[in-house]
Amino acid sequence: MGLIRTLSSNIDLSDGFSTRLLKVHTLLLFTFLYVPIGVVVLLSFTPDQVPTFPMPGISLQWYAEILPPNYNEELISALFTSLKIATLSSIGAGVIGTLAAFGMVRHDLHIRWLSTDKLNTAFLLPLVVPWIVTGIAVATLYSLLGIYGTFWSVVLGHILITIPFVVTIVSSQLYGFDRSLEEAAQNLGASEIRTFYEVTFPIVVPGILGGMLFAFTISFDNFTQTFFWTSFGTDTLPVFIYSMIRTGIDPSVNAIGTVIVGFSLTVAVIGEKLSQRVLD
Amino acid sequence: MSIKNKFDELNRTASVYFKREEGRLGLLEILPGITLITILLGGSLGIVLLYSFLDPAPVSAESTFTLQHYREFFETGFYLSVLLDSFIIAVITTAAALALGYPAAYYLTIMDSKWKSLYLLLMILPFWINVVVRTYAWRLILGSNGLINYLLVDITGVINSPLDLLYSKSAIAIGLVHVFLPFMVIPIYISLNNVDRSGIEAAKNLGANKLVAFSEITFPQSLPGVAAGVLLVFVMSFGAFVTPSLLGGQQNIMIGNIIGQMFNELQSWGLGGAISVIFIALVVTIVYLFNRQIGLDELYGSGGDA
Amino acid sequence: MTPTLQQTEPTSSRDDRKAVVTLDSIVKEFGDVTAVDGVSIEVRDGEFFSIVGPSGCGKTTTLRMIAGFERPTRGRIHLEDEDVSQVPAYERDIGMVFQGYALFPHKTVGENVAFGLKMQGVPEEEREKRVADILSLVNLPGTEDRNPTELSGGQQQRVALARALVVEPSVLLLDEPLSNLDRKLREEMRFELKRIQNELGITTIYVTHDQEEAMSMSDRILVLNKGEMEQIGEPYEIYHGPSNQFVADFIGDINALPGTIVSKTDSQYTVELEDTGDEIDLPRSVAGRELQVDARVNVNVRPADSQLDTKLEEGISLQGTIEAINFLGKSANILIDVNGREFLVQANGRTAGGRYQPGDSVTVNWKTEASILLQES
Ligand SMILES: Nc1ncnc2c1ncn2[C@@H]1O[C@H](COP(=O)(O)OP(=O)(O)O)[C@@H](O)[C@H]1O
Ligand SMILES: [Mg+2]
Repeated sequence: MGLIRTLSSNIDLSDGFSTRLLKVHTLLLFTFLYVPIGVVVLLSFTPDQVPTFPMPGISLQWYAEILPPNYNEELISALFTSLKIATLSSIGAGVIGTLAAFGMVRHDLHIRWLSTDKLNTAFLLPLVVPWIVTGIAVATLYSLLGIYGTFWSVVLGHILITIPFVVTIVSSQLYGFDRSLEEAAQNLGASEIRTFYEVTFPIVVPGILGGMLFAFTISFDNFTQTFFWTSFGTDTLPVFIYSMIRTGIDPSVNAIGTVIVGFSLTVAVIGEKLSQRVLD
Repeated sequence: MSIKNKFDELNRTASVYFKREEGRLGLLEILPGITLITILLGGSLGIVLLYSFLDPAPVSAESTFTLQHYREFFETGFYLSVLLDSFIIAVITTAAALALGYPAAYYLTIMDSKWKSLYLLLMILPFWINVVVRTYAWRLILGSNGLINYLLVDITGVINSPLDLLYSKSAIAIGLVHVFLPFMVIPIYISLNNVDRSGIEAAKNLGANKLVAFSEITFPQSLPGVAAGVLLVFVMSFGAFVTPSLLGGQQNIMIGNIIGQMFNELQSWGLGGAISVIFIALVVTIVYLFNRQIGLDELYGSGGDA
Repeated sequence: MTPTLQQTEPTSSRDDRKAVVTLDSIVKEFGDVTAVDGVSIEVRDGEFFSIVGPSGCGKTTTLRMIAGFERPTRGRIHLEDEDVSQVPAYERDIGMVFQGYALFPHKTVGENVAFGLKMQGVPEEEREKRVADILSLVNLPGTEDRNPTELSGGQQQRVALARALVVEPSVLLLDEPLSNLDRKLREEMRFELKRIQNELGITTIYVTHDQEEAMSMSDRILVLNKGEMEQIGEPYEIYHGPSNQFVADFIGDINALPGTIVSKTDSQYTVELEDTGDEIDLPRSVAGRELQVDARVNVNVRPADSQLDTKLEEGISLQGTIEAINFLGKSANILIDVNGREFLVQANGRTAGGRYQPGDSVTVNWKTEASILLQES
């Protein structure tokens, strides 16, 4: 979060031919990144039964398939499943991750075999273990426990894979927290609990929300693990789209894709703007 | 007086910032997270490890300890060749991402600051778009009715019959580069941005031309970013799943697809477990060797969502 | 040069006031480090008390123990008559201004200042009135709705002061409050702080590493070194009667000439200077305490007490060569090589400024009573 802003401290070294060459390269790279996305958007407007070029005209029929009254019910239910899972898991990861960040940054545990470094690594593990392996391993555990494919098992799995993001973001904010603010509050008569909710919490809450927003999008977008965790009824949107793609050519995938692109870009831009505000 | 001031300030910050509370409350705060990770991740990896030594797996009354799954993996050339293919695809992807990403990252550091935020945003935005959608897009481009064949056959007439671009290892590599490029560009950009510019100016004053200044001063200092990007992209593409299954077809699969099939379709949890264990061991070894070679401690890899 | 605000009140009348803060043999250990080692002080009602000392000598730690952010390893802290050693920070009737101000970034200036009143449950109308009053006192009237981040360093400083004062604590603690300001502002704020303190008559403990700052503001000063008390006294006492070489060196510039006591009588010591072998007689009154024959000592003299080429009735003279002259207008700092040792003379700018050149041979003199005879540390 706040990446753009952190990154764009500027350096000036402008000149000549090689710079122009680099610029052309960069623009070509943007073409490479955005043409495929543009093609998805463009072909979502085809009147054809298959999304190919040349497009014989312009039509909104594929959007009609994802909108009421004729929407695809499975699609909408997958969308709602995704939203529910992302909401619940970002709240779960927000609470558990924030607690863990406070514990790691603010306490001396005095346990020799459990240093802060080791704890940090432990909280990054869900990110480090190859995702396909996490996917099948957790699925195996779930089926052993008899909860495979249930809604809450997917939520729990998503909490696991989004915790690293919350812990990282919240602890970096706690490391930068000026503890003398809390001492000032106590000096003015605020008890420890009062200090927490008058001073500590309001100051870290943007970081927590940022971490939760990140967790939300990671959960909403996750495919690899979720693919192994869901079954009928708990399919998330990415899993549903994947099976649509696998089963046949259907331009409504493009319409859904376009909506997702629009949605993701909006969230990303808002997130970036929000984190700039938080940094100021 | 001013040094004294600085000193005092350092002292003050030290005693305030590093203040840590004693006691067990911290343990209580960490407990839920650590429990979840230990049980859900540690426990499930433990079960996979266990299954890799059991026949039949999952565990039942007749299950016995066996090395058969590991033997099968090494004796069936197919698994080894998929593993090798995956490795090659990951290496090519990483090399391509580096070759494409480095110059762009470099341009981002030197460009006019007016447009810089926009360029950076454009570089990062694709990361936010769902990977399934981004991979699907390449089917519309590389397919026999896709954009490229349309341009080559229908529009320009350079060739007569459509090329077979989709369902190939190149298609997988292209898709992976597209998906993971931001993970290469951003770390490189960060380290390039930290390069001390005065060194470059000094080198130029001493008569070094731009290329020499770059290779002697800038490039070495950007290596930590390069290493981070390389590690991230390599590990993520090595374990890729969506991209090969959507762009590789039946013939071109990667190790992630095999692992997935073993658990989902074939129900060979023993063999699947053995392959997973071998794969993780290989990734850990590669990361370890790479780290030791480059000497970077703070890097960590990441599984791939592709 | 900064004018000094010397208190004219006689010492004795202040001594009668009751002690507001009492530290009794306070020790603070952090692991192996002893940050504060046996500090005992009594700060009296209405007094402006400073703690000075080099960085790392334990000033902040002492202040933080008084505020209640650190527990002393040993010793007791009394506030008025109450032993507060075990009382948590938020129940101590003490205001503190932090070095980095520690203004709450998510609250307006008004909310920052009102915070303590809110914690006390003061009703809103009264809160608003008292906040407005205190903001006027610190010369920031009507800034309630501003954000602290919009203010300059000096203004933030005043807000921090207002926030600490509005709850009318019985003691005000300030930890290097001026060290983040630029020089000019710092000097302005000295007057401001002193004015406000006088106006409210609040007992104040002030921590600084800047001895000049401490001298210009304080009623009494504690000099701390490596956690230990070196001296407590009024600025004049500490400056002209340092009790040891550390205090003499730390409080203002001083010239120190090493020597040995070769003999002593009821009224004087005879010191042989190491550099020249000259023997000089000094009255016992210039030595802080009894010294033994053969003791290694320093004959100290302040640059401002030294003169050039002056005939003195009872004085000490040394020959030297001018090395450098730094003309400051009102005064001139003249650096002299006296037998291979640098000697600083702060001469009157008018009389000495144009008269000398580097390389000139001069006589350095000072009145015998201006000497400070201290055992070598
Ligand atoms: N929380 C702490 N943990 C360990 N050592 C500390 C802590 N606070 C202060 N110290 C040490 O105690 C000594 C005194 O520090 P401090 O009171 O901050 O000095 P001052 O304010 O005079 O510069 C220093 O050596 C400092 O490093
Ligand atoms: Mg200090």
